[in-house]
Amino acid sequence: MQTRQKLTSKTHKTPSALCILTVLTAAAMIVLAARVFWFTPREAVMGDVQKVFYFHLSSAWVGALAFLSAAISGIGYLRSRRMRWDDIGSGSVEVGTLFSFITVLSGMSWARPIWNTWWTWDPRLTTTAIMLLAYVVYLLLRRSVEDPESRARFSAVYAILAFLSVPVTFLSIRMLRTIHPVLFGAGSTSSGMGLSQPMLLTLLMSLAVFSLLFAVLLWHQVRLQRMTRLLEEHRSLED
Amino acid sequence: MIRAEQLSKSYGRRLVLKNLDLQAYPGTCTVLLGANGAGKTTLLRTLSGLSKPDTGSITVNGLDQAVQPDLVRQQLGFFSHETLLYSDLTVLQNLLFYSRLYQVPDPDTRIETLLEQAGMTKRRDEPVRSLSHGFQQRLALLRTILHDPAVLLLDEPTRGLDRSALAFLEQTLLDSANSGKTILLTTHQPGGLQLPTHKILQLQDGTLHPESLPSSRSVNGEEKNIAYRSRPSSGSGLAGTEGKDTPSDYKDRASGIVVSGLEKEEILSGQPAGGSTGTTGSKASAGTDTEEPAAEQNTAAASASDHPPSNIWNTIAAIFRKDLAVELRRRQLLASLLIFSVLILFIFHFSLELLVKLRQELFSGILWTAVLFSGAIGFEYTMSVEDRAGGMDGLRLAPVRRPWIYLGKLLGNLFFLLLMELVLIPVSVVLSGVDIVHPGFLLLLLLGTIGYAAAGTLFSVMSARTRTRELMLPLLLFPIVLPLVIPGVQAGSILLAGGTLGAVQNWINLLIGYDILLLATILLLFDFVVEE
Repeated sequence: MQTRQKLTSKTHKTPSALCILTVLTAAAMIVLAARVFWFTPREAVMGDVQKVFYFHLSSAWVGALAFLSAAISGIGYLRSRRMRWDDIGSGSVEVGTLFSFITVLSGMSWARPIWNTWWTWDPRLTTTAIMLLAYVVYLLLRRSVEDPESRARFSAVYAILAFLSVPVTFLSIRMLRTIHPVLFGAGSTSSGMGLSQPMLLTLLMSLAVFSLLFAVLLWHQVRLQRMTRLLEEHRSLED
Repeated sequence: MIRAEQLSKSYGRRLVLKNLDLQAYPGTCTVLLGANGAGKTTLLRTLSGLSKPDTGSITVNGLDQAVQPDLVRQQLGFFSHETLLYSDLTVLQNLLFYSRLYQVPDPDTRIETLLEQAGMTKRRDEPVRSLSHGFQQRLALLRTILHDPAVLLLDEPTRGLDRSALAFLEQTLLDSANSGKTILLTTHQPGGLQLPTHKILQLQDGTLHPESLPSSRSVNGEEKNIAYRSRPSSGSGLAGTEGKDTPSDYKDRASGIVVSGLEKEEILSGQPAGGSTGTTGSKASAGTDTEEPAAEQNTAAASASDHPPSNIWNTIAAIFRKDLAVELRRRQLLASLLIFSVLILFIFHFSLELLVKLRQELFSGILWTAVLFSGAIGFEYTMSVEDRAGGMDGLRLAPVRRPWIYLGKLLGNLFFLLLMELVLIPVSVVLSGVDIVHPGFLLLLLLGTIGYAAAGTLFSVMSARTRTRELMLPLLLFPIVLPLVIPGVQAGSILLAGGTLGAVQNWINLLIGYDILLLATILLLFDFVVEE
């Protein structure tokens, strides 16, 4: 009965802050798209295809942020054993996997006209694909463990280990020979891939809006995870 | 003594143990009754440290299980549903393995004595799988008492026992009680078991209730418990168990448990009879508990000094020797690894009919593929050996740190992988036509294999607890170890093409760094994977 009450009262109603944030994020995405396509200068060499970069990099950023969030949630769960951490962890991985997939797809759509191939076995591409696969496995792992407590524990352990692939992906183009553009740190061009001031502003705006999008999606996802968990518990009690 | 306070344990939303209190004293035997699914096994597994309580505390001879788990495990002997024996090893090998884990002083003499008592001396060199169920149970009991634990936890020890095995169990319990051990056992079919000293508790709705004894009565509103003190042991100790009931024999009508050959003594609730025996149980009797914590600590300290805690090297060596002994008896793992890896080489070299130059270029990649896929099979196999012996429960009960168990298993896996590579490399050289293997290539392979075995050992334990273990092991493993394989393959190819070690220094650094990171992370996380 308590679970049912929780399901119907606490979790069902979307918090007004989340509603407002969702609307704001949607508006920010529209503004961002308008800025990218109409108010950001066209890149001289690559042309319009370069505009993919703003979404590509931001998606990669959100992916890394989500996986970091999953690893931190994993540590949080193992220390406290609160299912809330598991909700955040699994929600983070779902959002992160989606954005990493967008990263790969947007990168491929850029590579086709620029490198003349959809895919090449470049260290960055390879390590990104491996990272993405690792987190898809995380989702499979959750499906193959029945007991919620064990599922949360194994997921936490795997999220921490899988996070090792994130720095490997980031460092791969700095340690190894690559054709992938290096934007930050050693090896990057002084002006950041030749970005002009308006382009840099668009990039920063894109990173901010995507971060907001991540926060909103994660919030929704955590609520969904919690409701699913409560529903599972409710069903197991009924059984 | 063992004491549990406010113990709760739930699986999901199902609360199995509900703020349960329990005390059991030295020299006494407490029987826990309960229907199927009442939580008896959960209670014993929680008391033994195999399962972590949600709330509450467990102390054994004054030692807090949450604070000093290794010392507590040294004081416990747990007889579980599984025998926790390695079926391929002999009786002697099993007992020697556990005596190493528990640092039993003079293990040879101890094992000889126990085998003699159990009537198993002649069967010491027989593999466990060839023993009857009754003898396996006897051996499991020997494993339980091998390190002379202060507290015995027995989960349905009478299940499937014949008359002589039952007599041995009763005798062992009688001797243990006489020597001051605390005995706690569960059963749901209590009839016929002859116990030395006891209190009967009923586990119902997650809490313990004192089972009413016919001779229990309330005097002036004060509840009394009954304790039974054993007569001095008469040598064989079996007297009275096979003959007619003595005048002091007593059969509890509710449970059917027979107490025979005992003096009956009434004591006030919670007060050990004659200073050495007595039990309290359930929340109702907790308030009258008057034992002295200082005395408990002294007992624990004395016991700990008798059996110094195992050190890391002893533990690793014991587990490694055990894995080696299992393989020496089965002779399956290494042969399977070799056949499988050579088959992979065949698929690439013959089925694809590669040109000589291409074969040489692919040498590193093909070799790594063979190692990867064969290794996954090897990890699965070594874990299945543990599964058959109770899913690592035997190792988890030992008074050793969990990361040491991991290191022991890792050493075994690494050893078998390296042995396989030792054969695989020359075979691969011959098949691919590569002139000579650069020493740097061997270094790369070694570094990669260490990381691979490290991750494989962990994920074999994890995948064994999933619904789809056959699928999950390679799925979990490969994405995590690919950062090891790629440098291994890339740098290996450079070296085979005539490159120097300096040319692949970055790759080697990456391998070393990833190995260290992986191993350190896994050592921190292993405890969470093996816990319940």
